[in-house]
Amino acid sequence: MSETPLVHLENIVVRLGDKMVLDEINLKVFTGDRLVILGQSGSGKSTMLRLILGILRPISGVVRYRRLQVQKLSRSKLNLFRSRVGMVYQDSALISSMTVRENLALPVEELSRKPRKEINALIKENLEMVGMSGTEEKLPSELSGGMRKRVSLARAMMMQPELILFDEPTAGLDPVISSVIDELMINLSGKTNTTSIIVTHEMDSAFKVATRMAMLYQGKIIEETTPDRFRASANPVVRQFVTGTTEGPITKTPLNADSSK
Amino acid sequence: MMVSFFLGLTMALLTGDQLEKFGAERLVPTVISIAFTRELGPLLTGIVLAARIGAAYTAELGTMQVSEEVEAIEAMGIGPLRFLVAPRLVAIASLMPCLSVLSVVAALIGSALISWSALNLVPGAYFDAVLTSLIVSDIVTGLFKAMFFGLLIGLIACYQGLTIIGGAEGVGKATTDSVVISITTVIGFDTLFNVILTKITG
Ligand SMILES: Nc1ncnc2c1ncn2[C@@H]1O[C@H](COP(=O)(O)OP(=O)(O)OP(=O)(O)O)[C@@H](O)[C@H]1O
Ligand SMILES: [Mg+2]
Repeated sequence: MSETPLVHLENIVVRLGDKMVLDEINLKVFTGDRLVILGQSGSGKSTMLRLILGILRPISGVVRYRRLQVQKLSRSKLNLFRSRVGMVYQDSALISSMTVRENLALPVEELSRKPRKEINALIKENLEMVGMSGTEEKLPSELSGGMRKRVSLARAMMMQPELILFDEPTAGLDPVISSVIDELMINLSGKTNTTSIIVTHEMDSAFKVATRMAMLYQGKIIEETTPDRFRASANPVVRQFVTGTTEGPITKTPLNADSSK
Repeated sequence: MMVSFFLGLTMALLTGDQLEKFGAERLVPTVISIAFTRELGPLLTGIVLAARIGAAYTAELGTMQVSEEVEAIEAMGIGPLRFLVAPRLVAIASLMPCLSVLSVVAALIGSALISWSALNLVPGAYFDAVLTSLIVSDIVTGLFKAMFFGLLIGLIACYQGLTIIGGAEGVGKATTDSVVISITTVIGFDTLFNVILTKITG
């Protein structure tokens, strides 16, 4: 493959506190991919997404977006880059003092010169897409966790990003909404060729959505391949994750037992 | 404002009492007006706003920080300094001089009442004396100080809020810290100001 990857992590090392969270990570994500990242709680999945957005700096290694080196961007270039990437947070991270409408309008109003009318149309369209029409005037605190997550998904799409990072988009959602979100993620790359990086724990949804899968374990990517090969992987950690048994190298109390949050 | 009103009362009583010994109770309006426009107005307003608005800033931003809202704003490509801090600084820096003026007025009314009842100084004469003793530079100094204190309080409060570690408990602690630090800093800068000012003018 001689094509330039959309996101390219090269020899990334990240240490948080005294814990080596990512240890020499190498990863390429190509345009149109839907990469699912799997890993135990506390294995550094969210950290990896933060790293891509340049919110967190690695001790060593390079994060590339197309040919840009994310860590070397100036403030304004970094903001421009971030505006092209959508992020759905694990805990939604909607601005709690703003209504749903204001939350969705925020990035567009701040970062583009779109007229009011167009913004409103976009809000309507995106809320419809996640099945949240009619909640425009509600505050995040008036919504359930799953509803907030869907609104934050709609927010991430407001800027029509080239890349969307999903941090456990279906965690805590009922099965019907979960599959709606799964479909949404699939459609997104079909229609607009949006690239997605998806962190999830739900194996069913992972296999349904992924075009590639990667497994993060003890700071390393121990497997990175297509879903079919992933399912058939000989690696004992991957096998244990796929089958969901308690027998295997993953024990109940890993190095990072404190990371239940 | 209530604080200033009562402090004005007290100040008038105390200074009046002392000055009366020298037969100089006519100086009360002068002392009070200068003390309040240059010193106590901005200072008291600063202390009150540090406790109310500063604390609110820290709590708001702290909660946003803890719930990853600040990070989400950053991740959208919006600068949190411009979006979250700048408007708050502008607000408190412009509110401070206004409230400071009000507090000076409240103090003057308070002390005029006392002077009237305790020193037999009619309010008309009192305010005449105030007007003659106030010079532009005092007013400007007072207003400038108020604005500067507002900026200080805002900066400290926002900084405390955005650098919170440790969840909801952290918010509570940072809020208290923010109030204590900004009050101390405001008083400290006020002293520094006066030292420099007396050096220059005196
Ligand atoms: N600010 C921090 N200081 C110290 N350690 C941290 C910090 N943030 C995260 N960590 C640690 O880094 C590790 C990775 O955290 P991360 O949030 O990336 O995990 P995760 O894979 O997303 O887990 P989950 O599936 O539970 O969301 C955890 O062990 C956590 O304890
Ligand atoms: Mg996580």
